Amino acid sequence: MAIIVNLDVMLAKRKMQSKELAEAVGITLANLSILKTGKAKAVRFSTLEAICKVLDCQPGDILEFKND
Amino acid sequence: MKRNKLLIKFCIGILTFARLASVIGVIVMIFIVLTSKSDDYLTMEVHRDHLNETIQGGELLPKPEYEHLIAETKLVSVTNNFEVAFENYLRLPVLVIVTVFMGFSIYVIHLLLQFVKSALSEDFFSYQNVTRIRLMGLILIGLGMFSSIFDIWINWISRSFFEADMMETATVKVNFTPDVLTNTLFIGLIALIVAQAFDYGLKLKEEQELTI
Repeated sequence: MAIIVNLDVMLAKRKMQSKELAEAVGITLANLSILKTGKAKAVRFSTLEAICKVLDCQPGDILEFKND
Repeated sequence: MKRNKLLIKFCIGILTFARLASVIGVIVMIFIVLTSKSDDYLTMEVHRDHLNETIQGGELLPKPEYEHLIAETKLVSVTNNFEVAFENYLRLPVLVIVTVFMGFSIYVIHLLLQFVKSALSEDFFSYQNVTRIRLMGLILIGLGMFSSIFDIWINWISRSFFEADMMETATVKVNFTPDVLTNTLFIGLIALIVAQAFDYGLKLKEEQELTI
């Protein structure tokens, strides 16, 4: 996949657990896992905004484009 | 909701019965053809729908107010078809063809039953059901084409084996019943379109589910 989700890297940097992030963002742990494993087809702006707010980062820190 | 489930269960009951009856029918047919020595089981009916034969004694009078609209009424026999019995050596190939035809028909009933059954569970919108509908559509198209070829073959036999003037069409028959609803070929095509719509809907659902 061309879009890489670096959520686990950001979580490690912030020393935060997935469960905590899921609760803070307001999504289920299962959905967060889908996002982390790159299985998600799309991300809502509202979800991205909430993640950025909780992790105190930019969308570019979470999402990365790699040419296959 | 409860009424819907009851309706689905009723459909499941009917389809299960139809499947069982078809299987028993095929087994009985094979048994009769293989064990019976009679020639009567390999016959073909040649239709004479447009036969100009008036049955004596029948009369249909129009009401006086509609008399000016009706030119003539005639009671015409349409049941005077020929039954042609074939030689015995053709029995086995025809039995194989009919058994295969029936086998596919039973498989369509089976697929439909599985499809209806899945409506009771939560996995109704699944790729398995898309495959089922597609298979049903393809088999129905195949059966429809085979049936049409069979009709052409019977028509060819009736025209080339026998005196042609006995089969001549005397009139043009206009039928207002749409063939689209009864022809297996069209039902198959509709099933394929439904499968395509199902497939597209499933992709949309998957996309929706995987949007975080």
